[in-house]
Amino acid sequence: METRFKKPRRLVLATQIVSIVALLGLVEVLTRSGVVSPFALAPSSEIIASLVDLIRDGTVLPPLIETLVQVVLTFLAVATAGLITGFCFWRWNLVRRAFEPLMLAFYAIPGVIFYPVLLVVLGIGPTSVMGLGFLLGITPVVLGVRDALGAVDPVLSRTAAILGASPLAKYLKVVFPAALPAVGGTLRLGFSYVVIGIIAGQFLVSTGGLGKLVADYYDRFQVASMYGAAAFVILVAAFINVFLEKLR
Amino acid sequence: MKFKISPVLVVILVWIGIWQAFGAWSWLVRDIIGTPSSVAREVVGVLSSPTTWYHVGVSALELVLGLALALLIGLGLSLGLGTEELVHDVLEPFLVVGNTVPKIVLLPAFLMLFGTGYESKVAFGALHGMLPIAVIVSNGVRQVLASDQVRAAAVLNATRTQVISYVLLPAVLPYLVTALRLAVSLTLLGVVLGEMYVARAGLGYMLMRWYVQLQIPKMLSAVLLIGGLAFVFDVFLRRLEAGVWQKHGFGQEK
Repeated sequence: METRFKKPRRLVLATQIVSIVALLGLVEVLTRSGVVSPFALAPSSEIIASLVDLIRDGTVLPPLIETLVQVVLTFLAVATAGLITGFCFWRWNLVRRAFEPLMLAFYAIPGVIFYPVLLVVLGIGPTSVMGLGFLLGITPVVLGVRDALGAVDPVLSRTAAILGASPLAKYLKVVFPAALPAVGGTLRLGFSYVVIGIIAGQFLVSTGGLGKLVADYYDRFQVASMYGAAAFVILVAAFINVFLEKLR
Repeated sequence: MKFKISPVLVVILVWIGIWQAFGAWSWLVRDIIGTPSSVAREVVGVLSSPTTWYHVGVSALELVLGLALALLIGLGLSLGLGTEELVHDVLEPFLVVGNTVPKIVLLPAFLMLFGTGYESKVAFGALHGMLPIAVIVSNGVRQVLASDQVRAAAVLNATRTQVISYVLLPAVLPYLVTALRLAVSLTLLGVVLGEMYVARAGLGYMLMRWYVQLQIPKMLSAVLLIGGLAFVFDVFLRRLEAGVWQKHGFGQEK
């Protein structure tokens, strides 16, 4: 029972803007007046200035590109492996019964605890970072693809078979297209998990990219730059997510 | 065949067998990473050490406090989100986006604001845990308020308090349990992340310390311990959730 916007959009937008401005104002007052230590929080004006500086002087560009390349590569791997595994789960019950309980168990535990294992096996560097992104992204995609295929009306594939479609044609031309909208949603979810995993990997053991950028400012106690860089990462991630949702 | 062999068990046993075989073949696995038999010995050692249970206790305390804070903020938010249309429309985009962005970049901010002790882990855990509570419970409140149950109660001349205690709360309970299960696993994630980065105690700290010291079999047993605890919580809460939905979730889609 979805309730659509009852309040006019303009009122909502105005309230959002006023709230954000009020929050920034509060931070400004708390820090300028010394209620909050300058080693804990920087004034909003300084955070925004450092955010603008980070973007204008290009500091943010190399780590951004590094992170994006890792995210795209990992996502391609997650999408390929997730589609194939999800298909196998759906098609062969034995495969599903053999691996699904493990995946469900994995879903419940904080995936980041496997990062040290990846670091030992793959070494410190982009490979283990991408490994963590893959690990976090693959579970929702496999389970989502299986659900999406399972939700396709069996009448469709039976009709295709009766009309003489080969198994391959049946899957590629009938079942997959029918599942596509749900698969799209699943891939979007997987994408945000990949982003979270990659940034977490870069941040926890400073290996590069945007995660390292934030961690470095924290290590050097450059408070305003640290908040600026964190805001940049959140804004970029939020922007990409909103963009993908619109695309879908 | 009389016995039904569980396919999962076969997968796990085959995997352990391959790992053990690698140990006989590669010195790297045998001496550095450890074989299943040497890791099993470490697990016994780690579980019987009082230090381990100290770290488990620290993490458990952080988890409980973080969860309490997440419930406080999350339920407060969901009350506003569920009953006030404007609050819902204004906050919802932030909550939805908040679920999909890498919150880990805010960890340094939490360390600066709350120090490197347990307080920052509690707060960072609560940050992760409050989002599903706010989203799921407010969704439940909205569904119940829009349902016939509330209208039926109004027809029967129920007072506002009666509607809340006899209609709204029981009907929202299933949503609350679902939210709680997700909140436990996400709060634990926040707590462990915080401990893995800068901490003096806790399971995440224990894990990272053994990684840095390259005590890999010990590190692997920490992974098994954290994963095992999280898995047990999840199984328990799933059982509870299924029971509550069956009892109270009459005619509602999950």
